Amino acid sequence: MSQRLNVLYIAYPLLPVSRESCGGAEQMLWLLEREMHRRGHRTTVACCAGSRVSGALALTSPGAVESDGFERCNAAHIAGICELIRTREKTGDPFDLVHDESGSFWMHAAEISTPVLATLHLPRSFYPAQAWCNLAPNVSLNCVSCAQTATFEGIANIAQVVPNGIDLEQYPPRKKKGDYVL
Amino acid sequence: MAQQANAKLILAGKLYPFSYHQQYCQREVAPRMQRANGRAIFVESPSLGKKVGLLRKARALLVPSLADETSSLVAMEAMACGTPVIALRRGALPQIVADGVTGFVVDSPEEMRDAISRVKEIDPRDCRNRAEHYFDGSRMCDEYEELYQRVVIEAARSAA
Repeated sequence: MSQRLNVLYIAYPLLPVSRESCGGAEQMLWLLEREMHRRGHRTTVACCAGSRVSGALALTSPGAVESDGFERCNAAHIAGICELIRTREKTGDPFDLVHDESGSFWMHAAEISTPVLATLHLPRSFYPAQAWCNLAPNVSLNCVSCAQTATFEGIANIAQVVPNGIDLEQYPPRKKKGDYVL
Repeated sequence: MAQQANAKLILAGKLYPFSYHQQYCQREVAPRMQRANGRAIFVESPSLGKKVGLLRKARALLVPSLADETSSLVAMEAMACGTPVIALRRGALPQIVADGVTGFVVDSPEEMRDAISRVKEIDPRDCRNRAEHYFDGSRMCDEYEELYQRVVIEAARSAA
């Protein structure tokens, strides 16, 4: 029997997480958090306004109006998350694990002691080259495909590959097709 | 491509209020839509229900991405719907699409155009079977749950 965990999920600060999310990372986070909540784990999602999740919401960003505001928005997002984690530690209700789906929180993991699992959703070239130097010891990384993993050769903290999946029931098959390509 | 293959094109997606999204759409997408003379339409911000409907009824899903995609949820979703996927050979796409079985992996726009006329060779049941076998979200959640336990145990050992 696996241990029931208290997990903090971290979303990208500009896009809401919900069943209707368009972004792949947000869709994956929504599906995973719903399932972990259903399996009895305590889940909290640090995300922007407009998000709807199964567990607790920690709104740390107003969400996107313009991408130009990313740096400011992300700085507030990260500060809010670190404060939340420290507050939980002080009150005796710490998170067991941070699952970072935001793409960048893990670069600030040295500011906390909680173990951080960061899912890398992007190609390696999309991350700053210096991100791989001096990775905090509490960070583990995972890729989402074997093809992606092959490009991360030499990065010691890659824990394993967890290929993405979808909610199959939401996409029932249909044999008869229309006259368009999508 | 779709026009040359005598197929209607539906472009669906969310246009965010980011300046570079808006500018790219105006510069690259809008002129092409106009030139298509009604053979191409843009469905902006489809709801989940609308997206599923579009995927289920499509003759094929085109993934003409130039980025080295690390995954492709939409390709998985299309296959689950029994819809063939025609994708450029970038990143993980050749691992997701079984070439000649659940769609086609191509190397150029011309090959993509030619593949559109070949989608009748693809059996929708093979698409669904591949989705059930490889892209089940429950399997993904099982693997993350195991990984969580491992990361937490290793962190506790390191701290001891």
